[in-house]
Amino acid sequence: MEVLSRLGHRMDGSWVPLPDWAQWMVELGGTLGRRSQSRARAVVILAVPTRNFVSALVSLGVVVERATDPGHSLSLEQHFLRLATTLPGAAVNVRVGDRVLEGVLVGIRDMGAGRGEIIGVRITNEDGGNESRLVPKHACYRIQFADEEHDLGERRRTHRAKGLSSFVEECVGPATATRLTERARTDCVVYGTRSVLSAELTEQEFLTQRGASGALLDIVRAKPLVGVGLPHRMCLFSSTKHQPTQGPEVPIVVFDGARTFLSGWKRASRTSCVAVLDRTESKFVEAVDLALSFLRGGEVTLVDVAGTLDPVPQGLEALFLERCA
Amino acid sequence: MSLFEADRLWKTCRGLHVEVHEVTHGPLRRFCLHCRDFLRDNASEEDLFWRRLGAYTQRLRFDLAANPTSFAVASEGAAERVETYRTAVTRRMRGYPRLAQQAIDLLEAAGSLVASAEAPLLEHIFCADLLQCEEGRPVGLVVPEPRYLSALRTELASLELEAAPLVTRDLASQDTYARLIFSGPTAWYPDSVITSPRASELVFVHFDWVGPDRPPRALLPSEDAPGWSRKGLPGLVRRTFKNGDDPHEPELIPDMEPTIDWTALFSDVATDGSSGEAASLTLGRLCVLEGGWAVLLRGYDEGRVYAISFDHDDVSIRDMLVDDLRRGDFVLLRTEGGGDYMVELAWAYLGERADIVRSVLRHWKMALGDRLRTAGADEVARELTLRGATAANAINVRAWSGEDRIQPGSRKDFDALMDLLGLGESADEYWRMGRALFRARVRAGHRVRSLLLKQVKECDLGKLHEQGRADFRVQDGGGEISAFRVVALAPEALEVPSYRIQDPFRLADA
Repeated sequence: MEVLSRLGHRMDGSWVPLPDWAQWMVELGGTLGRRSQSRARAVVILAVPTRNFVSALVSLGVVVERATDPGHSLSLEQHFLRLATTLPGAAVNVRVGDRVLEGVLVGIRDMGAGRGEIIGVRITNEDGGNESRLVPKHACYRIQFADEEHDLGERRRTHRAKGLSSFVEECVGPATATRLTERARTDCVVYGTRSVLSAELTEQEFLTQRGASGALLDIVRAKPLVGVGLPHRMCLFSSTKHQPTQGPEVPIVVFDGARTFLSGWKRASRTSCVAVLDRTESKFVEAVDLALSFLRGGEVTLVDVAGTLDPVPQGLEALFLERCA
Repeated sequence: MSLFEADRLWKTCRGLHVEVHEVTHGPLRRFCLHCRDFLRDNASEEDLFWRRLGAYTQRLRFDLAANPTSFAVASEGAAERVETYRTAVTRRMRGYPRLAQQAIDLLEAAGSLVASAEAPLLEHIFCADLLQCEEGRPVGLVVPEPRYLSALRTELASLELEAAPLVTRDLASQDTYARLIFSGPTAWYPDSVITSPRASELVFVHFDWVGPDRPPRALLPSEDAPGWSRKGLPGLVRRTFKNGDDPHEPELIPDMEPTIDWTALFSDVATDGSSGEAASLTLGRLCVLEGGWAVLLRGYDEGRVYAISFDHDDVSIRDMLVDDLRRGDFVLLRTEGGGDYMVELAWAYLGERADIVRSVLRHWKMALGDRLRTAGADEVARELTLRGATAANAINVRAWSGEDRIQPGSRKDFDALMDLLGLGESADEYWRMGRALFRARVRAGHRVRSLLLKQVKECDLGKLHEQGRADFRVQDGGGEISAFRVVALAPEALEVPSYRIQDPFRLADA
């Protein structure tokens, strides 16, 4: 991932690249972020000497990858332009509240008097009948083409860009940086000890090669740390009792710790998930046994990731599983 | 923890070197062999005296082989116990001539060791220069039991040896060492000491009949490359240090770690505290605690107990499932005031309503108790299921009849129960009463937790881990609540009077 060549930290006053294990975690997040467009759901078990920064770095990879990937990265204007230049009758999926309904594109109309443009769609409602909907331009992410795999359920909101820093721009490039600050969506949810995760996202200084400094939070924009009203890309929860979203599932769920994985894995039954297990945890063996029981029960199969990811760094053991259809 | 500190922990995994040093000691080996034979020969003995003697010598054997301090220090107080046992064995010589002779031989072998100032493991550690390191970073000496720490610290100080006495729990922190020396084989420690090492050099020092030095378990079990040659493991260098006075061939003695004779303990529980008065029965799970204590915890499904939870540096008090308790956890029990303070406080919260709620509960629980006595738990469970209950089984219906469990958690189960007992018309009112008590218990639980948490956070956690027990005085007349380290949890529950639940008691052989 490009971000890895730019992101580093300070050691003895100068920039050094991220350690190999940290780079690997970002790569893993990137790989999962890319895979999130396909229907295959991954379960990754990581046994690490310390959990610190692992979940944060995996989330970084997910968020950056999903912001960079064209399937997720069209700006509001670009997405609107695509819809506007498509012939009426194209099959689309439309988000209405927390539901996703099928429909067809009708066309674009300028409402005049400074009220802006709207997109007309005809949707099939849950009773099987048809109804027309007018979607304002600023909410056009609610409409996606039916033949493309998107996270249709995501509730996307547009925001004016806020908090764009040179650190973020240098790390991920100006276009991706703008996209990150432009709209909110949940690419990743991390369950774990919130105080520890918050400290990792906010207190550790990271550097770009050109000298801009910042924290991981600047990029991953974790809710609730990012601040009310500002667009977010990931969510932190201290307990698995919290629902990540109303309705549809988020693409990637990270369980930071064996206890969290054991109590919450059912919440990620329809999504890709990563379990970060510190070998010194008292529940480590139970968590590994749970993952192996998925394998024995035929719910998942082993995946060979050679060629997709670098070899695992010393000290890490990883299991890559894929949910069976 | 900073990224730099996290990276330091990852770096210890690189270039890891693991050595095993096997040392020998004739008298201790002979005692261990005697002990093995004695345990094997009296395994089916019904007289609890012999089983207790077996269990005691098994613990003594482990202390002598695992604690690197001198034998006399490692077995503190044992000389007197050995002598007491010797007298008792002599008295049984006529009834059990063969077993008694075997026991006398065993106790004689023990007697000479417990008076000895020899410390073969520590001597080896010193002579092999394992405490020396060039990097200026500390060397850690890890022992398998926290109760060894205090004596070890004193002995190291008196010998002016510089090493940090540690237990496994200390190795979950971010501290790293130049070298870690473990007293005992790898099997006595969790895999994490090797797979998440806190030093790049690990040395396991133990007697040559102790073992095994098994490799850590792989995340994905595979038969392709078993053992220490597995990919990702550093391999194992084994070095044997013989001395002339014990030129035997090494023979591994299995099961060196003390085990718990649950049959003998259950028998103690059955005879202890039986006042003869009629008391409601409930399921209790026997839990052996540090320092020769034990307690009966709620043994039914979903039975819970308050425990101190340590998540690295974060301390909290959790309402844990008894099933989830593990060796090393700390349970919180009332040691002054009797019973469960949380239950007592809940009744107090109900105020004037307490009497009504109590009488309502007593009414239907007595009716259920009568039904259980006449029809049996299985039949009652079957009848409840026919009436629409979903969680009715023999264990649950017995638990519902006890004082400890308020009522079924599901309204469906409760309605079926009321219907069966002919109390269907009062079901709504009785359900509300039960829920009121439940809410009061939740409130009481929060109160007790907040009262204790402050004290637990302020106490010396290092001392708590080392001693395995700490006492906390609770405000509001709550008496004293103690944190006890869990040594073992019985594999099954037994039926006990409900007043004995959560009431810690001394074990007979403590």
